[in-house]
Amino acid sequence: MSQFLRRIISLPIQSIRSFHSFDDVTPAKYISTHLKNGLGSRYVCQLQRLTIQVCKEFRTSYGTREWIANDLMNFARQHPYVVVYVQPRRHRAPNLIGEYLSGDRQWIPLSNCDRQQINWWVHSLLTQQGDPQWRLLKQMHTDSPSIQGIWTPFTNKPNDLITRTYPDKDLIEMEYPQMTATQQIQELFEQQKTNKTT
Amino acid sequence: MVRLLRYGTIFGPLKDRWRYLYKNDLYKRRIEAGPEPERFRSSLINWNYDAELYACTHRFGEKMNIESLRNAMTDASFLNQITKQRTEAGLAATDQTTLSFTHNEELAKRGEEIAENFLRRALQFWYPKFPKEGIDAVMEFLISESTIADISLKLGFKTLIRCDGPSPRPKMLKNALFAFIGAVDENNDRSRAELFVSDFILTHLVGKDINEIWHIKNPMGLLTKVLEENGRQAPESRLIWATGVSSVLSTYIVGVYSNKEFLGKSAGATISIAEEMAARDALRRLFETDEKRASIPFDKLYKHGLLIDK
Repeated sequence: MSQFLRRIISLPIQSIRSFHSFDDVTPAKYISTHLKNGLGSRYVCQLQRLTIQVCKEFRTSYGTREWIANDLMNFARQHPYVVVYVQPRRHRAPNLIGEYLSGDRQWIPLSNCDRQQINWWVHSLLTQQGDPQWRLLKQMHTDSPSIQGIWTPFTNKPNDLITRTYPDKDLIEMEYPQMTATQQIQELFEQQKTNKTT
Repeated sequence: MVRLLRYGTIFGPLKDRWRYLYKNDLYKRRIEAGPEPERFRSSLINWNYDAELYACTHRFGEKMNIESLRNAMTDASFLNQITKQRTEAGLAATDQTTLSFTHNEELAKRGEEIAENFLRRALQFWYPKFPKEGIDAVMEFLISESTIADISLKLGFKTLIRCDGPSPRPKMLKNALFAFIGAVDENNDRSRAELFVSDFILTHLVGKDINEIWHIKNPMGLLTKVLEENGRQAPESRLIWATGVSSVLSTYIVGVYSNKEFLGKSAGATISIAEEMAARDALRRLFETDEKRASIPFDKLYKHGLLIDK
């Protein structure tokens, strides 16, 4: 239903901060990383640039202003691989826009968020690879599920069945375990008896 | 200032008929106008090229001069465009030579040489029994324009490259990545550039089967040839199992033997398919490239002398 409505009134793609409706059909995939990130000797932060759009006057961007005044320099020093742009815009809502190495773009409205919440959102953008519109089919995935290969009726089957002469004595005789369960219990019982007497 | 009413509901701005018609007309006109033309990322207001380059050096942990990185990210087409603009503006040829930067062709050549050299050494070390044609095929796959352009795209060089169009072509992406490797070699040392190659290009083999990258047309012929070279007898194929012979889902399992010595076996829908697959399996076992083999230890290559540990 919501998809139908969205088609009539053309709204932009929802931010991850907004409520996710399960009526929507979202694209799905298995969990993966770009270029097998971290497999070599280094990890590459996928966030390329961060744009903070903020108003200097409105109450809605109060927390954003506070974060910029107190935490921005520290953040930039700790993460020199992220280019941070601050865009003052008069009388509009504050936004956080992250652009990623793969070309994806994330947009988060920051209206009425306090300083800590903004820190959370910034680090949320920093630690993801930029495609939250994907629904994960599973929480884990492997390209090689079995090293031994898929089981077939022929795996581990002895090859010498052809070379035997039939009727074969080994095949006719039914195999029983060396000792049945009853016998085992009886033996245990007798052992206990002998232990007690000694 | 804060919008309290929801847009597009009966409480919102679309409740009036005239407003609905107006919005609808605007929507149709927007559709008629077509998609927006592609723009340079640098044409947006939040763009600082020096800051981007500085971030790029820190992203990969390479200490390098910003100017050399700027040269590595400059494509030949960009330089051509500038000289063309200058001649149109009426500048003499002597003024055109005073440009402070060059294009990345030479650096790209240098980087490609390093990458090719290192990849060949690494593959030959890790798959010593794999024949030369196979390694050539894998190399061709790794160095190919599509692979390198894909890697370059995912490393975020798309917006950093200076070229004549808003979206760089695969050739430009490839040149930029190799030029970056060349710039690393120029600023630091060879081992650092090789580490970059092993981290970003060699890892492209993960999850891929190198036997599939090298497509063998006649596996049985190759198997005979390889066995002859090793001084062994020609391969013989024998049917091991068969089920559902007269049905649609027939399965045959064929084994390949040389002088009654097991080489490999595989299943197939017909005997000829099973025989071919068994020959492939035998080749895989001979070359030691089966799936059971451990993958390349990308973080421990220096232990094997392929990389110099720092």
